[in-house]
Amino acid sequence: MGLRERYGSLSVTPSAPVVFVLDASQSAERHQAEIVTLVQEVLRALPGGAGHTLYFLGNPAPHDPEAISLHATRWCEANRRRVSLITPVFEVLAEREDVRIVVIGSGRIFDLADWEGTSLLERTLLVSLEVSLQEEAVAEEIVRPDAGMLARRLHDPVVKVELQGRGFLPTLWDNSEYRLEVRDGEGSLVGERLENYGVMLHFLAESAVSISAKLTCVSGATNTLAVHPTRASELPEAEVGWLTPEEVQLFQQVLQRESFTCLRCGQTCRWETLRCKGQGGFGHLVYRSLERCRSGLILFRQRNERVSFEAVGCGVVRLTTDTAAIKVGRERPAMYRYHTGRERWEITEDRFLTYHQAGDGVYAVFL
Amino acid sequence: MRFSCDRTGFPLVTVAEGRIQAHLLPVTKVQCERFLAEPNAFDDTWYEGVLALNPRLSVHRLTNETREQAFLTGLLAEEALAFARWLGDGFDLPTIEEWRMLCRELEHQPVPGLMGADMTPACAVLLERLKVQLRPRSLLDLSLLRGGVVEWVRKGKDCLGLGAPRQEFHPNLWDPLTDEVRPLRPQERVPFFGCRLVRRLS
Repeated sequence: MGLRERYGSLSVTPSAPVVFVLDASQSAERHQAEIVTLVQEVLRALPGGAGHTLYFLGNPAPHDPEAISLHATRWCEANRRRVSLITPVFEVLAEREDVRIVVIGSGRIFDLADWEGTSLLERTLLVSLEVSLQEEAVAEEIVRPDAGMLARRLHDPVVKVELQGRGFLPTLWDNSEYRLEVRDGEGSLVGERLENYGVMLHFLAESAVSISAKLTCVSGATNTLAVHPTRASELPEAEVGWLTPEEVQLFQQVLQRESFTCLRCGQTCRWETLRCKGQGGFGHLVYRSLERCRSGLILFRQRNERVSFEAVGCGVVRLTTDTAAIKVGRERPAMYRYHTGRERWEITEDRFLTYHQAGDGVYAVFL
Repeated sequence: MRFSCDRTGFPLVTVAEGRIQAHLLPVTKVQCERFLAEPNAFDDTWYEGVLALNPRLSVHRLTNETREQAFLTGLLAEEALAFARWLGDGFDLPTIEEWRMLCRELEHQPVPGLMGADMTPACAVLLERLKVQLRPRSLLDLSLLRGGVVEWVRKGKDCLGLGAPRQEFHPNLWDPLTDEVRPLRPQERVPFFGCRLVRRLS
């Protein structure tokens, strides 16, 4: 056991999958065409690629709803002689915390009350085309909705994704909308209300541990996806460049903890200054070369007479096998050490100083 | 006493020196629904007709006053046999002798803690509720061979009923060890007629 550097990727379907449960019983036979049309129109209105499935009352076998136009008649005939029961379908879905369920039909479902108070039934919408599907109200029911309204009711977009795992600490990720959180010694990468939740990342984690992503939808439905292992080469490269000769001189001065004269405004600055306010306002970066870099971690590397910079753009710099400097939001960077026994990142009393040495000739700053 | 479960996850008890397995309880609506979920001759209309005589109630809601609503009644004998065929090879209605033998064997058997490892959650809930309501001193009390429903049994080529429902469900003075119950019109559904099934192993 112990921490290992790993690479992974995550792709996320933007909305919770929908399970259609159709009533093909005799009581709904005269509504068969209407049911099929409604399903087709709702599917067109829902986001694609969401992994929707289709069942028939009484039948635990899943069907592909995209194939309903081809097979509707055959499927309905095959399920006509089943009594209207939800249990065979719900038993199959019992572990699916991620789905929204819609039951479309006409006439009573006999065993609906057996599922009263369950998470499954709370995520189920009944659609009646004529006769109510329930003898007493145990689930939400609507009558003859149009496809657009039904699709809006079913569309359950993902609103939060949280990557986590034992010892997990992301050190580089390519979707800047994600933010790093460290809570109670556990690191997580969190994305909320994003347009795109896909992310590739470099991270630290316990060797044999799978890193997973918890997805939360608007309705509260949750799902867990595994982070797929990838190679380092698949991660986008960080922005790199070289300091100008004048900036290298400035850099050498600050490593000696000497004050310096701002190259841009002539103001005298303390050695740890990164943004000079000599001209007022928000200030300007003392290194003009870094202006196009996004905020986050910058690594300077001394190579003979030259100094390169790498704009990693995240809030973590790994210093040793089990120590890291982490900057969360606007807080000052803090030093953490991974405690193997407790499997937690614990804050230390060490201070992260600007131009913190992160390796031989390597210095870290948080911009 | 040995227990097992049928394909619906409800308990069977082995009696008669291992020659017969019998349902511990009368057949429930939940069991029958496993059968009804598959395509067959029994559809929504049929089930509505049966439930009109003895409405369905979820096992989670059963009370002392409503416990008979868990069981399948209003059944014709041939319909009970259709369910038996679906349940598996060898399942059948008991004969009068087998039914009465079951009463005698269960009378002195204590109620065990576990009754079948493959029991469905619905059955487990039902048994727990019955134990609280009945406070059974023996398996006979729990089995509802007395105080349950009238159950179809075979007598030669015919079928008739044995049982002594409690007065609140159906007033009667029957002693199932001596009396037989015959419906006035065998093809009419009787609200208090149900069944339990046996499987002859030898």
